[in-house]
Order: sequence, then structure tokens, then C-alpha cells
Amino acid sequence: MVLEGILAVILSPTCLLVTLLGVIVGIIFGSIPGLSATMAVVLFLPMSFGLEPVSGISLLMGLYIGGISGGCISAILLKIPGTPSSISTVFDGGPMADRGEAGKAIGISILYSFIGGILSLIALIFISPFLASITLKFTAFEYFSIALFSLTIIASMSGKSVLNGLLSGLLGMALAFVGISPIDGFMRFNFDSINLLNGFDIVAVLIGLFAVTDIIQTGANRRTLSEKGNIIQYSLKGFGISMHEFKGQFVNMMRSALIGLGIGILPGIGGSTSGLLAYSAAQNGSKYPEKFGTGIIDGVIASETANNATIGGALIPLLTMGIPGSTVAAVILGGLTIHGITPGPLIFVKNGVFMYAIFTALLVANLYMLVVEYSGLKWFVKLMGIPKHILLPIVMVLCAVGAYATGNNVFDVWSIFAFGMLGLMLKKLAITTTPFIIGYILSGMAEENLRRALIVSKGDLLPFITRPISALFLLVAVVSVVMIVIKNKASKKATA
Amino acid sequence: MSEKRRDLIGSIVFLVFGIFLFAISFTVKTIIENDVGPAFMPKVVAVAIMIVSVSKLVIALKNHSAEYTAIKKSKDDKMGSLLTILNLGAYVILFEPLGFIISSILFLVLQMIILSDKVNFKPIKFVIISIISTVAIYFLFVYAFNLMLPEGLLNII
Repeated sequence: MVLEGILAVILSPTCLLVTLLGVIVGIIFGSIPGLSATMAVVLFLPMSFGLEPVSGISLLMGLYIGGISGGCISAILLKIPGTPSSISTVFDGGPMADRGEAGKAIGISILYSFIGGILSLIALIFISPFLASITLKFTAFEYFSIALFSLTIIASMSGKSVLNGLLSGLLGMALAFVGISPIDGFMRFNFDSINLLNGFDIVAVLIGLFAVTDIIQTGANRRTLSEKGNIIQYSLKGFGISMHEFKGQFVNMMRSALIGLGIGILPGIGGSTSGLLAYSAAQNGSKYPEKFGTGIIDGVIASETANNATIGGALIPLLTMGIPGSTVAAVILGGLTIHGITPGPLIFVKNGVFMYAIFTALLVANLYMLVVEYSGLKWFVKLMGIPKHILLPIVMVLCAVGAYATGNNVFDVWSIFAFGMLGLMLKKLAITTTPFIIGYILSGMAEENLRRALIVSKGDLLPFITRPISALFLLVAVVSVVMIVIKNKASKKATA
Repeated sequence: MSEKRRDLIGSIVFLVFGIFLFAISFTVKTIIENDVGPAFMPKVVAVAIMIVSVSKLVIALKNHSAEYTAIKKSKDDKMGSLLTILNLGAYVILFEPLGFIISSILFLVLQMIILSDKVNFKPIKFVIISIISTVAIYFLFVYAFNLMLPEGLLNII
């Protein structure tokens, strides 16, 4: 099974080729501010449908890794994060570039992106079979509690306001009710429209919220669109780090990788938070915290190791429980389901070959990233100069094509516009959209398991708190919300 | 718009949505015995939305701090947003009737004009880029990825 999985990737020229394509496109999307890793994966999702499952998912993995890794190029050369996960790379990467060490900063970023990716891949390979064997024992009670736990964690961690996060998640759940209900197949909330029989297509929802909303917003910022920023000169020599420095950074590297991994496993928090957390952990643990922000390699290493380690982390709950650990993982979940692969505890039993193929694809994609980003840096920097007023409309056309291609249905094209407008409205109300998408995805799972559980227990709610694993998740969910509320109150008092 | 006003509008919009969801949930019937039914979860979510939006409303009403009530001028280019939304709306509506190629070229040219400023306003360049990229995308998807795209008006020719 293991060998079959590995060979399915290595012996397939199509698979190797589309992974390479994914990495290249990913780096381009990651390095251009305004286009994100999420957008890259969302836009290519419909194309992956036409490929066979292993190649299709390898393409998405390449895009994911490329997208997260490409962000450091503009973070260092333009001091603008190319993708949200490289926000914290700017803190020290920017000052390093100012000092004329841009090449060193990029070299280090690429190397540590690779290391972060590989460390999290190792964790993924060892943790997921173990987790899958535990989740085998889960019943409807545990699944419902986990869904609830995931939703509250996202709501409380993303954005400033817990209430806004909750509203966003609940709205996502509500819109997912449209169409055929789980268990009994009852048709609900479709307002007699045949287009809504199966609800809103997940691809259309994702394209709408994560691409169309951003494109509409460029209309509001059109006056600043042509400000290119100055691309700083750089010269690459090796990876910019000596063996001595590497040894000195070992603790920082491992700590950042673990933080990235942990944040990745927690649902919906994502790369930007993990980079920021690893950065502040590196600063707190450092002998010279005052030097952070002045352009030291410690900061760049923490940020880039952590954001790439998030990738493997996010895939752990995705593959073993069907719970996406980040927005990109949510998109990949859509891709897996369309290829007929149901993530969950049985994935190693039912799709074992496929699982090992995914692991191999991740390894291949990380290697590609290391080579392509390093050797092709010159071209990626050139592409950063493409004028936005030309690029963004073309991306919009690709969005429309992607939406139409999922079901050969023009209703999905209308949906991306509607969800783009919804995303715009939420942004205007200062409500983040990440909880929305996780709510949308987990709604069906939460409902199905709650109803199954209540049928088994004959309407008794007690098993949710008497079963230990279920109780633990519910407890953590409650504690996380309470802690954030207390923390917010404390910070409000401090500022008042 | 002040932050207070924004939060008040937000909580009322969600409250109305919560009430609406709760109301339409009564049109959904339970089929299986012992099952809470397909209306149960929507009702739970509707009630949760109502509770959260009312809490948000109360918190917003109670907060009178200067920073919270200060009116902040939006830096957004309103004309730019409006034109983008209209152009996008027209594009998705005309996508099928006009067909992919014609509707996309029109959308691209107009959107590039909307987003450009005096310095980079080059209509002929926009038209050329729009035609080339649309045709390239069409051939890539239809012939390389085997996907269907609406032909629209070009079908008649």
C-alpha cells in the first residue's frame, strides 16, 4: 500500500508535471500582493476535477505549498506580505532588505519554508494513522462535539470580536441548510428553485468569498492600485546561512515548526496567526529580544518555518476527521469529496494508496518549491510588476470560468457574484469570513451527527457530557470562548 | 460611519435574518419518528443568531466612548466600487446569453478602464489584451481541460 502510493506519484509523468505547475502558479499567486494562496487553490479546483484523483490532489498540494512559500518574496522585496501568512516575515525581512541583505533574507526564507514543510510532513505521516485509529471509536456524539468545538475555536480566534466570529460561523451554517437535508433527504429552503436542489455549490461559495470579494474591493482602492512600491535589489548567494548560524537557530526552528503544526491542527486559524505566534515566541525566548524588528534572521526563520509547518498540520484533522484546519484545507476538502474520497477515520483502510500518494506529492511539491523558488526568483520578481488593473479583471474571468465549469451551470456564475457581494457586506460590517466558510462546511456534519446521536439516545442530551471525549471537546469549546471574552475585557480596561 | 453605527446595523441585519430563518423553518416537516427532524438544526441556529445579535446590539447601545462613536470618513472610492459591482453584475447576467467570449471581452475592457488612472489609461492596449486573454482561456479550458463554456451569440455565426 505504501509503495503503491509512492509509485502512483513518482511513476506518473502527469502527476509530476501538474505538481510542478501547481508549485509555480502557487508561488506566483503567493508573491503577488492581492492574490493569495487560497485564491490559487480555489481557482484551480475546477481544473483538478478533470484530472484523475491522485494528479488532481497533487496539483492542489503544489498550489498550497507554492502559495504559502511565495509570500516571502514580496514580504522582503516590497515589504508587503504577498499572502497573509507572511505578515510576520516583513518584520525582520524588511529591515534586512533595507540593509542590503535582501538576498540573504530570501535565501533563508526559502530554506526554512522547505524545512517547515518537511517537518510538518513528517508529523502528518506519523500522527494521522494514529489519530485515524482513535477516531475509529468516535460515534455521532463525538463528531457533533468536535464540529461544535471547531466552530467555537474559529469564532473566538479569528478577528477581534467573538460575537462577530460567531455570527459569521452561524450564517455559514444557515446557508448550508439550503437543499436536501441529511438522513431523511427532505427538501428545504430552496424556494421552489431547481437550482437550489443541492444547495449552493461549495466551489461557487469559495470563489465568491475568497476571490470575487477581493476583486470588488479593488474597485474601491483603484486610486492606489498603480502604486507599485519599490522592488529592492537583491543578490542570492547560497541560502544565506552558515552552519554555525544554522546550529544557533535550531531551537527556534523546532519551536516555530511545532507552533505552526499546532495552529494548523486547530481548525480554521491558519498561517497568518501561526507566523505571528512563532515570531512572538521566538522573541520571548530570545537572549536579545530588543533586536527583533531590526532585521535579524531569527524573525524571518520563525515566521517562514511556522507558516509552512501549518500546511501539514492543517491536513491532519482534514484527512482523519474531515475537519479542515485552514481555509485552504477547506477548499482541498471540496476537491477530495468531488474525487469520491471521503476523509475520515477509515481513509487509511479505504483509500490507503491514495493517502501515501498525498504524502509523496507533498514531499515532491516541497522539493519543487525549494528548487523552483530559488532558481526562478528572477522571473517571479518580474511577474510582481504586472499591473493590477490588467491582472485582476483577468483573474475575475478565471473565477467565472471556474464556477461555470464545476457544474456546467450558469447559476453557479450568478452565485459567485452573490457570494462576492455577501463577502463585501460582511467586510463592511467588520465580520471575518473564515468562520463563515468553516460553518458552511461543518454544518452538514454537525446536523447529521446531532440527529443521529439524538435518535440513538432517544432525545437524551446527557451522553454528550457523560462520554469522555465528547465532554472534553465541549469543555474546551466553552473554555476557549470564556477565555477570549475575559481577555477582551481585560484589554479594553487596559486601554480605557 | 462610526463603529457604533456599523455594529448597530450589523446586529439588526443578523437579527432580522435570524427571525426569518426561524419563521421559514416551520415550513419544514419531520418524516422519521424519534428524529428531531430537518427543521430542528435550522431552528437552533436561528435562535443562536438571534441571541448573539441581540447581545451585540445591547453591547453596542451601551458603549458611548468617544472613539466608538466618532464618525470615520471612509477612504473608499465609492464610484470605483459601484462601477465594479455594476460591471460584474452585467457580466454574470450576460455570461450565458452573449456567450463566454463576447461577455468576457466586454467585461475585461470595461473593468480595465474602471481600474486604470490617467497615466495608464490605454484603451487600445486593453482591447488587445482582453481579446488575447479571453481567447487563450477559452481554448485552454475547452480543448485542454475538456470543459464546456457557453457559446452564446457566436453559436449563430
